[in-house]
Amino acid sequence: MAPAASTARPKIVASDIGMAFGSVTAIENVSCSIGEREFVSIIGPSGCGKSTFLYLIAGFEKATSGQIAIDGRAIAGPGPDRGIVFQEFVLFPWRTVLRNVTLGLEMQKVPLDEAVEKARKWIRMTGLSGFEDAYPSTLSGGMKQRVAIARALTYEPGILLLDEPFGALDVQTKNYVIRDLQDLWVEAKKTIVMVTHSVREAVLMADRVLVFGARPSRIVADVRIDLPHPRDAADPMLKAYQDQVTSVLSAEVDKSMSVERAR
Amino acid sequence: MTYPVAAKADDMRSRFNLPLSMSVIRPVVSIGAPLLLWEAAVRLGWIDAFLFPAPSAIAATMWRQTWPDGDLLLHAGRSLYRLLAGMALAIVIGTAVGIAIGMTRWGRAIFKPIISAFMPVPTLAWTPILLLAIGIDDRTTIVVVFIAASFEVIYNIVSGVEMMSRKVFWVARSMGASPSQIFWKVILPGVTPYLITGAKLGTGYAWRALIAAEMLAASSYGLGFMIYDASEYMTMEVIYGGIALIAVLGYFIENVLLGRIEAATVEKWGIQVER
Amino acid sequence: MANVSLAADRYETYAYRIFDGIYRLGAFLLPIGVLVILWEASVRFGIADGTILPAPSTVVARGIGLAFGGEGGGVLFSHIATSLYRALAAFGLAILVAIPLGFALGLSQTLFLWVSPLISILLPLPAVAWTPVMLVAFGQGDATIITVCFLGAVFPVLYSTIQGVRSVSRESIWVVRSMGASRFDIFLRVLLPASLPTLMSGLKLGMAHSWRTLVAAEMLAALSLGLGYMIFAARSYMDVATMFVGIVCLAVIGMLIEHGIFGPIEKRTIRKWHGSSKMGGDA
Repeated sequence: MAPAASTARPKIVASDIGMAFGSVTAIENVSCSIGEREFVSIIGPSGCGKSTFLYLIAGFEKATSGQIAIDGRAIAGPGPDRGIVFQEFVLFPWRTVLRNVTLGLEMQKVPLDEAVEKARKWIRMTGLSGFEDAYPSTLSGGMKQRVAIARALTYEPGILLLDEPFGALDVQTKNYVIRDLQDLWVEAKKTIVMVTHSVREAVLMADRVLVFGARPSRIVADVRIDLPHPRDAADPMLKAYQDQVTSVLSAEVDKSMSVERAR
Repeated sequence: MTYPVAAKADDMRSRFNLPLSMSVIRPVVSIGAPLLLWEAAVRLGWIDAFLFPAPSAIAATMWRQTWPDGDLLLHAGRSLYRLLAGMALAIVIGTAVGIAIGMTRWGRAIFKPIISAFMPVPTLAWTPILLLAIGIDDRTTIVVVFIAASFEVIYNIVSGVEMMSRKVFWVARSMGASPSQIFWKVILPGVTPYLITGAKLGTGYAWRALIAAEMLAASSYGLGFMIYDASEYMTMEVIYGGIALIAVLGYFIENVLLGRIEAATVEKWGIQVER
Repeated sequence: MANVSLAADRYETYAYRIFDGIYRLGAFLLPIGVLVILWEASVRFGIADGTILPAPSTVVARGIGLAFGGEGGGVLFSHIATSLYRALAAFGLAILVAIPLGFALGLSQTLFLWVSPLISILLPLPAVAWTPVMLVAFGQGDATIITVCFLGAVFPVLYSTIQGVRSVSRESIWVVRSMGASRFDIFLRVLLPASLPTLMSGLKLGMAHSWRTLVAAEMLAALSLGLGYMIFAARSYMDVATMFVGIVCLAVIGMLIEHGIFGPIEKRTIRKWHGSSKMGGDA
């Protein structure tokens, strides 16, 4: 599948975003435009505010300056047009897998049997068949993440936001979930913004990699990955992109480390 | 189409930049404001001054009870003495019993059911029997404290011993430790977190039982006795003053004293005591 | 084919559960039974003094007498019923007050910060200490007793409710907000279930405090009925047998409340959700 055209209609537009917590400025002068059905990965040194930026897009926090527009309209809080998947899964332990996945549709007052049917489809697509009636506390990390992904996709938001989705998974599970996520993206045709600290994941999955700098962060690089999906991890071109991003990232990591030491 | 630029300081985040004075101002205002309201209500005649005497009157009466020839300190001292004596007994005997029971599987199998059967019995229910057996005496109230606290101590220690990994004992034995060394250097330190937690919980129950027992056992001194006696004479100021003192002492013992000990040991050692 | 094996599985688990239950009950009752036998023997053979520790047979006989006997017949049940009524009334009132208040305080950071010192100092206060005030205000009787027990239960429940609400992670709320949830949705679908474990332990504690305070309050302020009253009144007759009847009733009721009420509720909610008695989960 060819990468999403860069002339695609802009889905998410961030204009001159700044975010400060008290006296600490996390991000400043961040502007970018994400097109429809683009897969964008955000990467940067620890504590640089990349998750903060994601939460701004999600509407969980309000930027202290600048604005974000979705489909041309400024956002005013969270909404069912942007689904979220957290690193810590945040499943509801009092609901079975099935009812966790139907939650979004329940919120939209969809009749339960219809919701269950749709949920079962996504449960199947995320490889969770047979676990519909299990409670989250009995599942492994990888399965919990799949439930979180299924939950976010079932009510069909146009945008999917992922905050370090593989952070809590072991390497083998991670590879499986990465592959599933790529297949899902192809199938579901969504705009995806994924925050990660792994260059390898970013380059493997995304069309564009935005590199955030040390705090106060700005976007220091916008790398377009011009490779078709699905990608081969052994592809030498991939390695080249990886090196490119890594060198930019390392410079920023050094910067933030020296700032820490200077404290 | 911009949305408002908000630089609202989040409560959660600004909390970490709090000046120290806030942690003093808040409790003072929190407790002081209702008292001021009460005072105002009495002075303005909104509430009955007999049933709800003004805090200033209460404070004045309590001061008179302390100095020059009041009994307040005697009452408070007697209550604290009984609490201390009972707690000391509960800790020493409770630990010994708890370890003895907890070490062996049949010990636990036999005694745990008996203890859990008697634990839910409110401690006060034993008081009439104690009154018959011992009479109106300091010993009655001390035994009440002992009963209230020792259940918690024993229960927690038995749980603690159960949880101590066998491997700790294996290591000690492979170092050639004698039984007495194992007791002093392995078992006792190992159960200490559970002992402290049991003591903290036990003190809470003990203080409650003590005050009630002092009202019932109608001995001559003690905070419980003081306020119960005051109800017979309807001296409301003494009652409220007594309640305030009981609350403050209870808070101090449970949270400040034992809380500090807990922080210095259990939390520092990073042990999770399961309840 | 599948239906048959499913039915067989279900039968197996029922049978297993029954046997397991019997075994556990046996393991629990056996030591107590042995204790009773030893106690009886030591009184019969004169080792223990029957005036302070009456033989179990005496206690049982007195119990039966109080429950069904002639002149005072049925009085035991009146005592039990009165005590239960008072405890439940007090506890019910406490829940009605403490849970809404707890939610309000838990959700508002400012309210919480300013009110929590006040709650902290009232929490360790023995509720019995309020009895003298109530005695002056209401005299002896139900009003005093129920009010005192109410005060005993309301603070632990309030405190745990606040803690439970405050323990709900903001990410859980974000998840439903991103699904377009209304405030009512957030309350019903996230706040309530997520704070339930802490709330339940608060309810257990509140009930325990209320029950203990009840016995004390009845001894001080009851006119003629109640287990506490029964035990205390027996003192004038040196009637230890009745006292022990009371103690046994209290123990049994205490256990019934713990295992008969809270146990099943916990099993169906908290333990099912979190796998064990530990607080787990990701929400």
